[in-house]
Amino acid sequence: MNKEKYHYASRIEILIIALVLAAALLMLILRSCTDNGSHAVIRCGDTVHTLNLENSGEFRFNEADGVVFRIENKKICILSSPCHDKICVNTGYIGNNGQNIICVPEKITVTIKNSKHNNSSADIAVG
Amino acid sequence: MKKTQYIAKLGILLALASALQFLESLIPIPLPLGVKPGISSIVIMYILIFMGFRAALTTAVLKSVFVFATRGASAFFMSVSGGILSVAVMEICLLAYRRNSGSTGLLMLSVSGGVFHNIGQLAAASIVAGSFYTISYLPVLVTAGVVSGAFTGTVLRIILPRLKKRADALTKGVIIKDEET
Repeated sequence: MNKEKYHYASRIEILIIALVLAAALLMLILRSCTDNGSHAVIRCGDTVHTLNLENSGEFRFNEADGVVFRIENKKICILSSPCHDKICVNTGYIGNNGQNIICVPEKITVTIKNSKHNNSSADIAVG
Repeated sequence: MKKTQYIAKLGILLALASALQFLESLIPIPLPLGVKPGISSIVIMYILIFMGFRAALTTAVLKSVFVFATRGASAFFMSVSGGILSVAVMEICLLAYRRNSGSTGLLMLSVSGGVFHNIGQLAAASIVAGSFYTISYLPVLVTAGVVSGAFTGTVLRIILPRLKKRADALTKGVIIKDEET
């Protein structure tokens, strides 16, 4: 049982790990370079709500009891939530297209969309 | 190893892993998504290398039961899927090493374990939240898995020779009898 042989890392292993890390970091950088979104799509279980990021304020929904959303400076965050680990609250404000907040215990997802990709173009102000 | 000895050792290691995980959760780390270094995976890797796949899988699942008791059902589901996937991938990694070179690369082992632990948790989170937007967390979680895996692998590299020395000293004389099993 104690005849197990081991080493720390060979050159090839370090190269593989570095490549995986580089790929992940590249995806991170590419993702943070997207445009600002215009809407927040909030899914609470089966129901979907859409909020315009132009409207600042605090929002609550019947389907998400005790969860408070807040929009400020075209960004949205989950201000408070009754869940245990508060990962959703700690995510903070998001506003870039494609970003999202997920609260697993409360089954809530918030996704930022750009209205160019939506059909609800009536809300867009010119300029 | 005798059965009672095996059970006692695994019990102690399980307690150690659970305690480390709990201690870790007490330290507030200002990272998004609740990313943690995963100190308890050092114990899991030790079990996997020296006591085998079944022992490691059992410990990982029982450790998740401890999570269920302290943090609830969805945390349990995420913990158990991350734990099972990471132990399975590390076992595949370990088997490949034993077949090819006979020497295990600890850094590679722990990094693959760390990355696939996070991927397993992400998959569970997607199922619980009923949404596949969670996939956008993948780059963050892979990065975190590599970093935490590098950390735990380095710690394992430092403590393994010392543990081996202690274990050899403790079991000297007893070990000759146990050779047959």
